[in-house]
Parts: sequence; structure tokens; C-alpha cells
Amino acid sequence: MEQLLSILTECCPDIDFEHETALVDDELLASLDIVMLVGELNETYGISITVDDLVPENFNSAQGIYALVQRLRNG
Amino acid sequence: MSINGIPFLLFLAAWTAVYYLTPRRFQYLALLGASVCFYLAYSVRAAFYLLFTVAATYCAGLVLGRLHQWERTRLAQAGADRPAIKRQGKRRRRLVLAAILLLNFATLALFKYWNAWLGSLSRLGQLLGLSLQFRPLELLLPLGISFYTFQTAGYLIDVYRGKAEPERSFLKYTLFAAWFPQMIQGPINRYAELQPQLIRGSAFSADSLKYGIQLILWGMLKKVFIADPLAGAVAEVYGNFGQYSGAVSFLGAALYCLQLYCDFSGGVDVVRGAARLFGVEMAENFRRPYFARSLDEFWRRWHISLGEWMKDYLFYPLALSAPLNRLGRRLRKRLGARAGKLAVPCISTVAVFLAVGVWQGPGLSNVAYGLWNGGLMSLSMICAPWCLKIRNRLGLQEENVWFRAFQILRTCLLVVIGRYFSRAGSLMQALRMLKHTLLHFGPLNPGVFTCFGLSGADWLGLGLACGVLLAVSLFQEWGVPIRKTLEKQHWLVQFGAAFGAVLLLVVFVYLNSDYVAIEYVYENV
Repeated sequence: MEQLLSILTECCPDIDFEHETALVDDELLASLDIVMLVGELNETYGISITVDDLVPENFNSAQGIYALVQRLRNG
Repeated sequence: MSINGIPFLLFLAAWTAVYYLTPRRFQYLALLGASVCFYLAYSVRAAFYLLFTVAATYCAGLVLGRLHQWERTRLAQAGADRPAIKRQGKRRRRLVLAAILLLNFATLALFKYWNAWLGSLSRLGQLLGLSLQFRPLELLLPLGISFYTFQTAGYLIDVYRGKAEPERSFLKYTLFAAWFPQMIQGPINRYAELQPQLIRGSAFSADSLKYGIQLILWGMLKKVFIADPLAGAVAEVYGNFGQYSGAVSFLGAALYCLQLYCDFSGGVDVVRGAARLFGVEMAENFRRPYFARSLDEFWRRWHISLGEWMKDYLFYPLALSAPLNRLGRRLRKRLGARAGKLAVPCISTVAVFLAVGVWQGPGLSNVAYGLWNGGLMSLSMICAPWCLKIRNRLGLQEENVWFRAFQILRTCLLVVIGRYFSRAGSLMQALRMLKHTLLHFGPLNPGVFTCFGLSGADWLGLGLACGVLLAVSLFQEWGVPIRKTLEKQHWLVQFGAAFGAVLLLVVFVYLNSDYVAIEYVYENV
């Protein structure tokens, strides 16, 4: 989780990823941020996030993103 | 049938009565009846084109649904080779989707761009010394073709992705695709949000009726008292910018921004109000875009339904596609992590804005408009760390009022420059006007305002209307719910506001023999 938080903070330094739970719903994460983030996550964890994974539940919080990464890593 | 005219208002009143007198389970048929009558009143020939798209996309939706069903059945069988079945199912669905999208968008391109392309080819021929003569096709651009093409394409992609079940009833699907309010100005609705509302019907609600009428009146006021008076002045500046100083050219482009906003958002208000009369809530399309602090934010506040469509159905699929990801990885290895990280979103952004530009029209000026927006947004992504450093060094806080004002003005300036391209008749004209603005800026002579065909009283009326719009927008920005605040007032105040709006329209529009109705800018795109 710590590694993920550092990736997230590097991508969007203005956002408090530890506490925000409506990153997409409150429009804190724009589509451009999400695409940049997906590139980083794919590269770092060797996963492949697809369009079908791009639902608010997966990107609304750091926990949601973490769960998505875990799910994709475990196949 | 203009949506500001008396016939449209009578049409709405009659079909609202029919709708609420119809038993609830058949109400969707009343909406379908209204939509068919509305479209036939526009053109019987265009109705056939619409029917063609509706029938083709309806069948494609059913085929995609069948393919999903086939995949589910095969996967449920014992000993099934799941990855192979999934691959095969996806390949088949993709083939069907590609074929129908190609057909749909080729039809759109034929109607919208074909003659313009022939003209460009002739001009190119002249430049090369060839005599290329093409007879333009006599095509009537079907009303709302862009909107229903995008809306049905969105539906098909949702069915392809398994996010929506295909609509089995042809009548219900026709209603979704041909729902009459969206035909004039959009917005581009999502199947999952619009279709259930159209089908389930609704009991009579005085609130819906009141809200619908309020929205219609507000939209009409914006169009009639701001957009229409500005149309002549804007046309004068864009047509004869050489006769004025560069400052007037800039003012013309800025006034066009205001005209376009009031025209487009006013039209969408009328459309959303009309839908609301039937208890249908359509997607919001504008959220005070000129208060945006960046171009990125501007595009999240302007023509929201198109932006959302582009994001979900073009930007994400493109940005997450295998070729672009491969390119990103390659650049990461060769040019470093940052270049690799930025390449994919930048390329996808430029591609999306090129599509937005082309959506607006065929000319090269529209391509330039797309490149201007996409290029600037990419540039802002690239420069973001340096901008942050400068901001920190200057100690500028996000909440600082002056910093916010600076960001808003900067965004408005970029939008105004972009409008040189989107409004000009050609790329060359836009560039000449831009050059004229920069090289001959000069003073803004107050006498110039009388050259725009507007009297002092017209400018005063325009100023008052803009003042009201600004006040309402500011309250909305501060989170004050205008409609709810109005509802809390004494009924006489509420009645007075509505009566005042109606009176203004009756006196200045319906009883005014000098009033000339001006077509909506995005009517028939």
C-alpha cells in the first residue's frame, strides 16, 4: 500500500490520497490523471488495466485502487 | 419547427396533455408519437434516414446481445476452454461493432462532410493546375444526425461491453434514438440513464411541470436577449475585421464566446425543460464554463455530454489500447519515465480534440480548433511540474482570490483565441484575423459599438441581461440553489418572476414585428 501511495502522490501531488474516498465522484481525479495513473500501475505491477476496469468504484479511493491492483495481480 | 416559436410551445402543451391522459404503461407510446410527429414535421425524407439508423443499430444491438448469450452458454458447459471461448466471443462482437459503427459514422460523414470534401478536392485541383469538377450531392442534413449517431453508438458500445442489455422492443428502442427534445441541441444521452425514464412513464407532477416551464423560459431568455442580439455584431466583426482595430477583432471573438454559450446552453435549457414536462431528466450539458480555472476544467463544464461521450468511448479506449501502451513503454525506455508517462495521455488528448473539432464541421479551421485545445492541454500536462514549482516559489495558494481570478481570466483568454478558429469561415481567415489582432491591436474606440447594428438601447438591454446571467451564475457557483430559493418565496414573488419572463418574451418576441428569429448555432449539426 505504501508503494501505491507514493505512486499516487507522485502522479497527483495536490491530492490527499490517504483520506479522500470520492476521488472520481468529486472530480479530484480527472480522466488525464487516471490515464497517467493507469500507465504507472501497469508498468510498476505488470498488470493490464482495461477500459472495463475504469469504473468509479475502482478509482474513488486509494483502497479501491489497491484492491483493483491486487485483483489483477492475482489473475 | 423552431423551439422558440409558438407552434413548438403549442405542440409541447398538446403532447403533455396527451401524455398525462394516457395510462402509465402506454405513456411511452405517447412520447414516441410526439417524436414521430416532430420529426415528420421537419422532413419526411430525413425521417427515412433516421429510420435507417434506428433499424440498423437496433438489429446490431440484438446481434451483440445474442453473441453475449452464446458466450455465456458455452462458458457454462462442462470442460469448456474458457479463454478460447472468451477470445472468440470478443472477436465476433468486435467485428459486429466495428461494422455497425463504420456504417453509422460513414452515413454521418456522407451527410455532413461529403460536399465540403468535394469542394476542397476541387480547390486542391485548381492549385495543382487540374480541372476537377464534382457535382455536389443534394443532401438534406437530417435533423439531429450528430446527436442520434453518437447516442446510438454509445448504446452499442455499452451492449458490446456488457454494460447494457439490448433493447428488444423496436418501438421502445426507436423512442430512445428519436426522442424529440434531443434532436435539436442534444445533449447526448446515455442509454442507462435515459431509457428507463422514457419507458416507465410518470404520474402528473406539478413540480415537474413548473420546473420544465422555468427551464424553458430561462433558456429562451438567454437566447433571445443575449445570443440573438450579439449574432449580428459577431458576424460583422468576423466578416469585416480588417475595417476595425485588432482590439475590436478580439472583442468580436469574446462576444462570440458569450453568444455561443447563451445560444447553446439556452437551447439545451429549452430542450431539458421540454423533457422535464414529461418527467424526464436529461443530462446536464453546461456548468458555468467561463468560471473554469484551466482549459481541462473548461471542457468538463462545456458540452458535458459530448465530453463524457468522448472520454468513455474514445479517450479511454485509445489511451488504454495496446499500441499506445507499447509506444509508452518504448518511450519510457528511450526517453525516460516521465516522457513515457506523458506520451499516452498527450497523444490521446490531441486525438480526442481533433475528433471534437471535426465534429463541429468539415473545414481545416475546425481541425486547427481541435489542435489548439488538445495541444494546449497536452502542454499544460508537460509543464505541470514547473508551473507547480513557480507557484510554490511565489507562495500562491489555490484559494487565493487573485490567483483564482488570474486562472479564470487566463482560461477565458485561451478559449477566446480558440474561437477565432471555430467561428471563422476558413483557416486562412482565422489566421488573418489573429494576425490582425496582434499587429494592429490599437485602441477600442467607443464609437465602434454603433457600427454593429445595435442601438444604445439594445446595448443597455444586453448589458442588463448579461448582468442577470452573471448574478445567477455567481450564485450557482457559490452553491446557492436558485430554483429552491425561489420556491421558498411568497407565491406572488414566484408568479411575478414567471409572469415577468413571459411578458418580456411576449412583448419583445411574439408581438414584436421587428423580431427576426435566428437559428441556433448548433441546430442541425
